[in-house]
Amino acid sequence: MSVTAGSRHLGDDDLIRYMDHQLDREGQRLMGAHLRTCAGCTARLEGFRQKSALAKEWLDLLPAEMPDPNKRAVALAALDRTRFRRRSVPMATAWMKAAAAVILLVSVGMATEPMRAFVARGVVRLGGGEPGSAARRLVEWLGQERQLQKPELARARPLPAAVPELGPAAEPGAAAPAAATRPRPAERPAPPKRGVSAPITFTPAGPDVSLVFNSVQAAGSATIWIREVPRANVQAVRGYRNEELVTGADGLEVRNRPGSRADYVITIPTRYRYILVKVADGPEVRIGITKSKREWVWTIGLQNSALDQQLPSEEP
Amino acid sequence: MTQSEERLNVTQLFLQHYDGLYRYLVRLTGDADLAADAAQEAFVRLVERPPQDRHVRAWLFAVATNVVRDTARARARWMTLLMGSPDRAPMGDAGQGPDDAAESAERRKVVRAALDRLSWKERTVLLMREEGFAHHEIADAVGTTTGSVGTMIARALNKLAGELAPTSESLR
Repeated sequence: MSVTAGSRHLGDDDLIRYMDHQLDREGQRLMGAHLRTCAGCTARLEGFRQKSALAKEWLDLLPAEMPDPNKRAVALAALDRTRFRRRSVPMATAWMKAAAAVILLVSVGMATEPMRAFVARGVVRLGGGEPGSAARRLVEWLGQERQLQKPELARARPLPAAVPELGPAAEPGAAAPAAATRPRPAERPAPPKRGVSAPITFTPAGPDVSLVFNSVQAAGSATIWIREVPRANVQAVRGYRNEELVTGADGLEVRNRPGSRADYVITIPTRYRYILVKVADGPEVRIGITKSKREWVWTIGLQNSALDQQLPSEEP
Repeated sequence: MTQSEERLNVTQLFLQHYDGLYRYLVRLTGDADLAADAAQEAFVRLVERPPQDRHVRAWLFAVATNVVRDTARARARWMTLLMGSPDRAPMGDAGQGPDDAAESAERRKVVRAALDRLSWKERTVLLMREEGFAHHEIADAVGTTTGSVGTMIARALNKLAGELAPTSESLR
């Protein structure tokens, strides 16, 4: 409203707003001041008042009928239904949010190596260690082919858990052969336990097998087992803390540390001629393999490098 | 708000505003069925998406007005409403004699026809004004500025007076 007292005439919209009291106090005052001095605007305002009163009369002629009670009841029932639906929706929404969160977490988690490995392990376990083709493809898609190898290696593993129980310097040819020859029921390979490494097979190319321990250890032992097996293998069976088991054309290198406490089981096929063992900077000890040494076991402590005092003489 | 409080609240609002809303919609459309449907839909939307910062009554009228407009369009009834459908006006009050009833019906027919010749916005602002809404509430309902509501009311009053004033005496 831009009109001031005594200025130009008021517009129709101004008059209506004045008539309907839709202006603020200052606007009403200015309008009133103008109307007191302007007969033309006052006449138009009076005209609108009459038209407004007539319009009210005319509109009142239209029936002020009450709604059909049935329609009221239907409308109220619709309100109740809507209220019920509305109360149900938050629960559904909550479940959908939870599901979405899980999917998001899994999706994000699948981008990480540990999550992929976890899923792959689960798939392999669900397949009883021998997953089907679809499961294999899934594991491969996850880039976790090594999970597929574990069961195969586990089947070739020669009783790793039984040997360390022989204790240090067990008598060769006594308890171990009996345990080794005992028929065992077919077992599903157990997953590696904490402190136990994955088994690794290796095939030295030459006639001898070299076993090198880079360091003496705070505790732990290595059990060397000569058996009729196709391939050499090694596994840390207790106290494993990520010592590296590196296999090569000569044999095995155990990259252990002075603080290591792991126990190892190393199985060597009988077809090799010698086992060459060296711990830290100690002398290399050579053990000859003969037919009489099938199923023979030696356990050597790794706390010092003086192997020649631990190993039995070559000819008992 | 608990369920019982919510129910009480919505039911109270329904009892408070349903009849007034229905009356307004019947006047707006001349169609009792459409008015009932639109009033119901407005209350359903009140439960589904209650207004955050607007007066409930103004919100209900605005929503119902939009529902009527959209429904009328959807039913291709829009043209009928614009061109006038006096025959569809609710008829008859109980307790009148045959002559009175016929005369009342005729008067209503004339008013209905005059109302229907207003534009949709003019009719809406005029009827909402009759229901006592402030100009800013009417502006919200019809989607215009508060300033132009005064102009539309003035135009509607002038048109209605032009239509009905010549027969005003006979309408009384």
